Amino acid sequence: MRSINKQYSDVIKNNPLLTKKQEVDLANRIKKGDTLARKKLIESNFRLVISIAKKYHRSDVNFDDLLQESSIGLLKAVDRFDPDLGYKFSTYACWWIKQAALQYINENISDIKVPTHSRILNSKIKKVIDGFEEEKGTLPTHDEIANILGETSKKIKYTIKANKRLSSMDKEKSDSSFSLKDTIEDESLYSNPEKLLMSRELEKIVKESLSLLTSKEEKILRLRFGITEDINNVAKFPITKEMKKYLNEK
Amino acid sequence: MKNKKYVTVNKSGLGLHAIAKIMSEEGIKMNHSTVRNIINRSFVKMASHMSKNYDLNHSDEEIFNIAKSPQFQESIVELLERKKDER
Repeated sequence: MRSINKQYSDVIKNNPLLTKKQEVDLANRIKKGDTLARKKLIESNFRLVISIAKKYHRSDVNFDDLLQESSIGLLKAVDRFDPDLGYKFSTYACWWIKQAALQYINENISDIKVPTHSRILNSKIKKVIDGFEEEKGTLPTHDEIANILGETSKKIKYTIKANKRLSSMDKEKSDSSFSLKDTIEDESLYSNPEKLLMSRELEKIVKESLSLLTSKEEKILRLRFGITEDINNVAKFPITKEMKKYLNEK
Repeated sequence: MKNKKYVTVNKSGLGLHAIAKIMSEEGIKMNHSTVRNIINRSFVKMASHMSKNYDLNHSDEEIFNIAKSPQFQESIVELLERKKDER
């Protein structure tokens, strides 16, 4: 199957840029319900869709899908364009295309959907951080970002937190069938029976050693190292009233 | 591994004097030096038992050095914590 990008390129070749007069003419015909005029205006502006989609394309977003979603923005612009206002079609359409592209990215970039206003604020925060670092050589604090953007420090904090990128342990890498979890070493004792056996043996010996302590010795060690039992459980580990008061104060 | 000089005691750990006072109140009269000696003796007892079990045949001096090392003491404290949780 030919890629959508290639199909779009073919359409662009066959449809040169329109003049303002042609645009107004086509828009007026669309208003009267001319579907051919609608098709012509759409196809003549595909290069704008490609240009904007390329600008917003990132490695983790499928370009063909982004192109299709951006085209939906173009369709909306064609249907709502009013030539009487006197603007060029591209001036009006680019906002609809950008909106469609950004919405698609927002909805598909992460498994957890973050509201678009939060994404927009996050990109503003990133710009502020970059600018601040370039100017002063240090990273700004949340309060400084909040002052610059006129938001609260709390909002800045949770916006940054909500927009952190996540990766799934089960997601397979594009160039191999391995997922992230396949690359993490199993450090548990169960993956190494010999080590497990040695660990159990050591634990047994240490427990035996602990049982050599008299109750007085064990109690002194516990007091010294702050290993307290439940202060209400006086039957298993009797403590004095003073000790109980001391622990409560701490 | 970094050689530590002192064993870490958590916030509720008591000083030798405080322990001596508590024990004396409970009827086992002792002063802070006795408390210190009991702590040292306990660790020596455990280190000696472990050395025998592993056939390491450490001398008394070596066992004393192991017993007073912060790494050894910290491990024992951790196990005492676990013993508490297992009850």
